Amino acid sequence: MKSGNVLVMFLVLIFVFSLSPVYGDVLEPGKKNVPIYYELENIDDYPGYVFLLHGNPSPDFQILNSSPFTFYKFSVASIYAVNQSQFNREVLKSMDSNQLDAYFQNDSRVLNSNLKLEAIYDTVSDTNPLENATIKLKVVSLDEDGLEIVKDRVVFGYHDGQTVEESFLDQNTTPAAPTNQEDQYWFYLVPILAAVAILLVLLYRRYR
Amino acid sequence: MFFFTSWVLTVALEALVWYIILKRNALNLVFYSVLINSLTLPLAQFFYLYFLDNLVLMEALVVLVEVPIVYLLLRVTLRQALYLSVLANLVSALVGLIYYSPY
Repeated sequence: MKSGNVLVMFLVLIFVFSLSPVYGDVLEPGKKNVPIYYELENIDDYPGYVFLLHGNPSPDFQILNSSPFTFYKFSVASIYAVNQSQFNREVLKSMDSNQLDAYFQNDSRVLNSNLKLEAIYDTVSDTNPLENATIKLKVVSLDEDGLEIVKDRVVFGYHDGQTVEESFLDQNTTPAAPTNQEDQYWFYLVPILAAVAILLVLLYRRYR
Repeated sequence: MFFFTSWVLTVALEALVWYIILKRNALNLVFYSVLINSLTLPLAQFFYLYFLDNLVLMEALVVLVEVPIVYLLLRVTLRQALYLSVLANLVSALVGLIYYSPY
C-alpha cells in the first residue's frame, strides 16, 4: 500500500473515531466533575441574621453556618438572609416548593444577595489532579436595605493534598486552576530536556 | 505517580513494537523510545488535560509529531516511520486504556 493511501486511511479513521457520542447529563467515561464548595467566611459577624441557601431544583432551603457547603450539581442557588427575630424554621419546613419560591422571591423580610451559585467548577479528564474548588465568600454589607456578598478568593484542592489559592479579580470570572509544581516539571521541563537530547543525538551523528 | 507509570508503560511498549518490526538492537530502541516519549507524552497529556479533550485527535497529533523524529532517529524511510509511529501509538493507547480502565 502506498504511503499516501495509508495517510488518507489514517485521517479518515481519526475523523470517524473523534466523533464523540452524546451522553446527555450522564458523565462521559473518563471524565469527572470538579465540585465547588462555598464558605461564608464572616458569617459569625452577623449573629442577628439567619443565612439560607435556596436553589432550583434544590435545596428547598438550607441553613448556613461557617462550614463549607455545596449542593446538587445541576442546581443554581442563591444565599438569602432573614432577621433572626423574623425567622421560623418550622413554617419554612411546612411550605411546598412553590410557596418556598414565592417566599424567597417576594417576601419583604427576605434579603437576597443576587449572587448566583453553581455547584460544578468544571468537567475534566479523570486523570486531572484537580479535585475541588472552594470559593470563599464575604458578606460586605447587610442591613434592612439588602445583602451584598462577594466572591473573595478560590482555593483549588489537588489529589495529593496540595492547595492553591487565587483571588477574584472579576466577580463574574472564576480564576483558572493552576497546575501544581510537580506537574509543571513534568509538562515543561521533561519535554525541553528530551528535545535538547534529541538535537544532541542528531548533531553528534552529523559531526561524528 | 500516574505520569511516571504511563511514561514507563509507553516507553516499554513502543520500544517493543519497534523491536518486533525492525529487529534492531533493543537497548538502542529503548533509548530512542525514552527520548521520543519524554518529548511527546508530557505535551500530549498537558494538551489533553487542559486544551484538546479528545484522545483520538491527541494520538493523531502525537503521531504527526513523532513521524519525523522516528524518521531521523531510527533512520528508516518516512513510510516506515509512519507505520512504526501509528502502530506503536495504537498499541500503547489500547494498553493504556485497558490498564487505566476502572472495570
